[in-house]
Amino acid sequence: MSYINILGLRGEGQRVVITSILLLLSLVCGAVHAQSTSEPVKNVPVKLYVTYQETDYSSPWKKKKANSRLGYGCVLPDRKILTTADIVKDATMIKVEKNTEKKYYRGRIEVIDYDVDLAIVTVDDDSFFNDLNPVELEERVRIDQPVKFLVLEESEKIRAIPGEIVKVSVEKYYLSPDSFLTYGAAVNFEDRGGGWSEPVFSGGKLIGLTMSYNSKKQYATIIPTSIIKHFLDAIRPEGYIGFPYHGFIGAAVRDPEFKRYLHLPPGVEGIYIQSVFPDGSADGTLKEGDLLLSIDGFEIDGDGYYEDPFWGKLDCRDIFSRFHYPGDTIEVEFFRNGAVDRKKMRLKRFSRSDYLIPPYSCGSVTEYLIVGGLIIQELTADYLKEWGEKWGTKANKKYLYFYNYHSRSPEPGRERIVILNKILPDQINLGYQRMDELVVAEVNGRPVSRLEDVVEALEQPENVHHRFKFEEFGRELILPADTLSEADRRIGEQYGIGEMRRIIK
Amino acid sequence: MKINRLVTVLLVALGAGMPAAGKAGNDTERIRSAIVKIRNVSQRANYEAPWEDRDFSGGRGSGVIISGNRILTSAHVVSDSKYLEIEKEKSGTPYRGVVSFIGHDCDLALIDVLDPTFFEETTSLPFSQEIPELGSLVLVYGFPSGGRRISVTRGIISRIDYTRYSHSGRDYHLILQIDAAINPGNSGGPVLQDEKIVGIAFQVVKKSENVGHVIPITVINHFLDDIEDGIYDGYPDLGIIPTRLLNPAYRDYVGLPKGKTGVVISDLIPGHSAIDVIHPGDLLLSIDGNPIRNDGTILIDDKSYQLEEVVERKQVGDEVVFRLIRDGEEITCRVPLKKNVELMKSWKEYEEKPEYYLFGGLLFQPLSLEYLKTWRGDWWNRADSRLLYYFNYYNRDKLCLARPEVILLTRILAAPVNQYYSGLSDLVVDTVNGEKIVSLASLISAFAAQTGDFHIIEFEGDLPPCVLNARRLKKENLRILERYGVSQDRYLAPREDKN
Repeated sequence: MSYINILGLRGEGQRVVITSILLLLSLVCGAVHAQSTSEPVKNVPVKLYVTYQETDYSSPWKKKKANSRLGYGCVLPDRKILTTADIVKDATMIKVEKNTEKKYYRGRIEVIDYDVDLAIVTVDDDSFFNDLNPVELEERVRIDQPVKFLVLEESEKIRAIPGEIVKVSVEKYYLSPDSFLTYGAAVNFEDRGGGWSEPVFSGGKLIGLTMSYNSKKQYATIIPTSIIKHFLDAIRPEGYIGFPYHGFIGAAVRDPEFKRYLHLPPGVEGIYIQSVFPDGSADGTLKEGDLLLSIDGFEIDGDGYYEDPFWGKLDCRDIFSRFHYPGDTIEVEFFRNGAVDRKKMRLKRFSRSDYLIPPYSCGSVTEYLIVGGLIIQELTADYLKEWGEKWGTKANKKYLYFYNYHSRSPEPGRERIVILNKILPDQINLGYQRMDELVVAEVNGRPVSRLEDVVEALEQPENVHHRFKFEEFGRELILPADTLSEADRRIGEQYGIGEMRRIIK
Repeated sequence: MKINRLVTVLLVALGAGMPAAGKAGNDTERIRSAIVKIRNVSQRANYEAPWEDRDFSGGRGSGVIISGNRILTSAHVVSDSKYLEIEKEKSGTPYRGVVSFIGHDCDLALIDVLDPTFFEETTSLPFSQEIPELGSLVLVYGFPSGGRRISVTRGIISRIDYTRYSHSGRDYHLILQIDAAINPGNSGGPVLQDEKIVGIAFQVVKKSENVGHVIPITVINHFLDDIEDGIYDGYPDLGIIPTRLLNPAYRDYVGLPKGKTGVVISDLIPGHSAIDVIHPGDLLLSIDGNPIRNDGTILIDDKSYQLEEVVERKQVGDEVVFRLIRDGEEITCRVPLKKNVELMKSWKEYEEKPEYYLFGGLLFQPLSLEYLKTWRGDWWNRADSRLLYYFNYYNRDKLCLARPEVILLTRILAAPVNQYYSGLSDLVVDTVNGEKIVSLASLISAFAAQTGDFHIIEFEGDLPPCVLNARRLKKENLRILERYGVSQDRYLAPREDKN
């Protein structure tokens, strides 16, 4: 049962920057591997200097210290600069620089998709693009093909770091828990130049953007041009439509007993549908217990692979994300109740707002509510990461359980997990101040499924009290209704909190 | 994360080690003849391979002869005993000892020596019935490692407090804290004042200097009273989850009458004494006549204690009387104290054999602290988060209602019949052949009742079912047991308390 889409834990420490300079060595290697000249990519890449500031999710009214990062971008037609989402996320300012001019241009994000880790940045000053030729995109890359990772040195000289594609597979992306087509490349970034998101070229054409690098394994993952093209095509006049999401969890079926149990005729292969997400693409088409046999005309084997005409065996999730857009209708073939059946399936985007515990918060406002000193917010992966580097083991065990095993499963009565983060001590919450990390079950007798529910429930106190009920031991917390707003004002002043609530309706 | 753990270390000597602290004080020959050296060969249960024990290990501690030719020591000195030797300081001849009573929750045990000649030329020491004064002098007797002969150290009572008894980790009891140098091997040795026993040395606080813990006379008395009927029942628990009424709005909300104090009950723990008598929402005003203050404490002899202290001094079979307000009416409620029935073993277990069922190579075990500890090191972080949730929130989130016993498929001993599932481990079993699994016994009977072609095991969470050929499983079961050297396919502890 190997093909199980369980959310993995992912640390943040995947990118390692090594700044020691071993220029000579890399030039020698470059000479050995160089196959085509770097002429056609003369003005590639451009540099993006990004100042960013993240929310402090454990004190959500605050921002963390501002920081900066350097990334690379490629110029595309229509004054677009392509880069990765993680370079520009949480940006407060973007400076763009090209190697033909010692000048910074002001950049701004035009489109960003955190799931596929891609972004389009543009510069409003047209003169920036005057001497820059858009790069050409190449989707076809073979295993063992030599490629070049382009970086700009301090002197603005372009340097090509040689590498080789070693793997084409469907992998989890940098921010998203979802998986998309990915190239793996063997490359030694010993002299990386201090930036991220290096564009990768072969034969003078862009084949992808670097997503991550593991210095120990000397292995980089690359967002392939197929995903980039799909991303660009999803930018429509009506707005960005994104990638479709299959919306089910499948499991490999190899066991002959399991096949016999399903009454599967010999020769029929597919994956077992273990769970279907409500309101997702597969809802209404597939059911738990089905065996999915083919997608959009591609046959699926028992391990969940289909045969891509160019790359061979690939994870079948690739069919949805690479070949289709939200709104497309495709046909799926499945085995149910002893017979093979076909049905149309209308594809939908699965956004992080559909998660019980959203996998990332960047790009959205972190909502919170401070009432009577109680800091109430929705549980997110970013909140868990505030436990530090080892958050995957150190964070609250209940939160981790839901994150690891049920993070995608909102139910009708529970769209999010609303938590009491902690309590800012004040006379109004005397006696409660040690309560923290509890799940809010009810406020004033009304069940809580989203943070808005708390806001609404607070409008109707029970007589002269507000009653918060928590899941753990059914503990309750009572606040007086009449003196609450006065206390909130006092707490805001005392703790220097500008906004006592940030709620997006 | 936010819990500050007080790390305590038990004082059994394991092999050689610490320097001697033996400086004879004002002890007399008579006292010395009451102190014994205890050597225990023990064997711990193996929760990874529950059909076999772990390797033997040896430990050494001290004990004291009390009235009736009995030797009192710490439970951890003699737990999981396979062979016990008792030695007097002078004779040099070891005698065979037998544990007659052991209380792991209070870390006390009584030992019998079968050969009556052992007690020749010994004396028994009496108990002091007073808790010693803070700052008063005490002497610690024992056989700590570093030498063969008796050691006596002197110290003062530096604190009297509640702390977790780390041997079982099950609950908190009173302790005396002393500043005398006590070392591995001192465990079980008496602490004397005016030649009377005021306590038994048993643990030290890690990373702090000269902080030793002593089991006080109240806890010893509780143990000795408990075993008078020939059975050790342990401490009964009320199993109430009180919420303190420190906030005026809360007091107003629950309608606490002016001039009265108390706590409100949020929840009750199944299997403990108060579950059917006290209700959530009850407003407890007094316990056995002691007014309960808004912070959940009571005063006994002008000293402040948690209200559970009243229960701490009682035995199974006694009762506790509450005055409480329920639905606006003040009533009296009697809670008979019963032996706890706990199906999630959240404490360190001794003497007990681990429960398991091995069928077709699939190993099923109940979730317990001992099982989580097989992750070793900081298991409370490293163990699988699903298991940690079920363990930590078993009562808090009422997981106990759907699964009184949380039964796990812990691992699979690979065999052709289960080869497609050999990677499965540490999953919570939800159903077997459509039957909801609430205990190891229900799992066994769900397998046994199947007459169809397959055994279907479903797990908690988004996981595919495990489908096994029933006929082949039955056929291969014995062969799998043989191949892996498993003599018994199951162990279920007798369920004396379940009616």
